Order: sequence, then C-alpha cells, then structure tokens
Amino acid sequence: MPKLTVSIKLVLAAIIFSTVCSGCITKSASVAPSSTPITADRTYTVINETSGSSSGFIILGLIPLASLEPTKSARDAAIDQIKADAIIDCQIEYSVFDIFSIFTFIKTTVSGKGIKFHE
Amino acid sequence: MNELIVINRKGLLHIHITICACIACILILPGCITTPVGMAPSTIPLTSSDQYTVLSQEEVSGTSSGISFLNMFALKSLNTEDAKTEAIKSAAADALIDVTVDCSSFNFPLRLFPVITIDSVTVRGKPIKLNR
Repeated sequence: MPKLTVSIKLVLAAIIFSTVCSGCITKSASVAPSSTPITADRTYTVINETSGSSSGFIILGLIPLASLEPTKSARDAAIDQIKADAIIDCQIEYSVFDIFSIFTFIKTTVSGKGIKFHE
Repeated sequence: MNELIVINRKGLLHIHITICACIACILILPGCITTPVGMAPSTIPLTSSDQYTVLSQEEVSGTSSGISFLNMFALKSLNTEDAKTEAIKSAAADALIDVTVDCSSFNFPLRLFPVITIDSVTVRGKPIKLNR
C-alpha cells in the first residue's frame, strides 16, 4: 500500500471532517387542516397565503439561542403577518444548517392560508 | 536547510493537533435541539353540536420524557398521550385547542455518538371545557 503524504492526509481529514460535521437539511414535520377548530356553524373568509417562521441557532450544540416552542412561535407569526384569526391547509417544515457543528442554524416554518371568521 | 524541515514538521504537527482537538471537542460536547412535531386544531373532534368555553387564552403545556441508551435501548419511553393528559389536567380542562407539539433531544456525553439520549415531548394548547 502506497504511503500517503502528510498533505494528502490533511486533505482527507478535512474532507471527512466537513462531511461529518456540516450540512443543511429540510424536513417536513406535519400537515394539519387548520390551526383552530372550525365547526359547521363557523363561517370564514380566506384572506391570503401566509407563512411564519421561528429561527435560532445553537452554539457548539450546547447553548441554544432559539425558541423552545418553535411550532407555536412560527404559527403565531404566520397568523400575525396578515392579521388573520387562524390558518387552514397548514404545513410545518423544519430546516437545519450545520456549520462544522460549531454553529447550528434551525428554522421552523408554518405556512397555510390565513382566514378571518365572520362575526 | 535542516532547521527549515524541523520548523515545517513542527507547523504540520500543530495543524494535526488543532484538527484532532476540533474533532474531539465536537465529539465530546453534548447536544440539545428542539424540533417541531406537529400542530392540530384540537385534541378531540369538535363538531357544530359541541359547545365549549375557552378556559384561558394563555396556553398550558404538558411534558413527557424518555431516556434511551446508545439510541437502541429505551430505559424509559416518552409518551405524547401523557404529555397531552398532563396539559389538560393542569388546567382541569376537557381538551385543548390550537395545539402544537415540539420535541427536544439532549445527547450525552458525545453529541454525534450519544450514550444517553434524553427526549422530551411538549404538548401546548388552550384549555377548553365542553358545555354539556
């Protein structure tokens, strides 16, 4: 077996290090018919498409600077964005961007159609 | 010339040590992350014949935790049902509306290869009382 030079070893180590420790991934968390109960006697108007997100980052995988209730924060942001009462056709997505596991950026996004209930 | 080779070797050694230290730090440090699980309009089906009162605009929450060894053996399993029940009982309610569910994972002592993993699921929502 040929002997690897020190520089090749370093390059290989850097590639393995980057592969193991970095990356971006987006996952679909769930879908829901609506964010609040809608019964037959509650009528509503669809205002527009909306989305809200909750972002944050974690330092060294240990110190979280992010919301501990990301789904609630993202849902409230989506509703507040267009001053709606609730959202229907909801989807939740979750993204993680890891930089050498030193900084991990996380983002939870709730999207759907904003609705306004009729009084 | 010999001095230059010695200096280069020392420099490479330092790079090796730095890389090894970085990898060791990342492996040694534990990690914690909170991920979304889902949302739901309510914990029970609500039809137009169901009248209810929202007990509080402040959301209540309940948590259930689980512990696993080497990510294979569950020493204690988390249970979403328990978390939901805890949230409902905390407000003496019948159900929750505007429900969100999040899950937190804490890996210890190695982040990438955890020996002990503590998972906790949290259910949040507004408590309601059915009018019967």
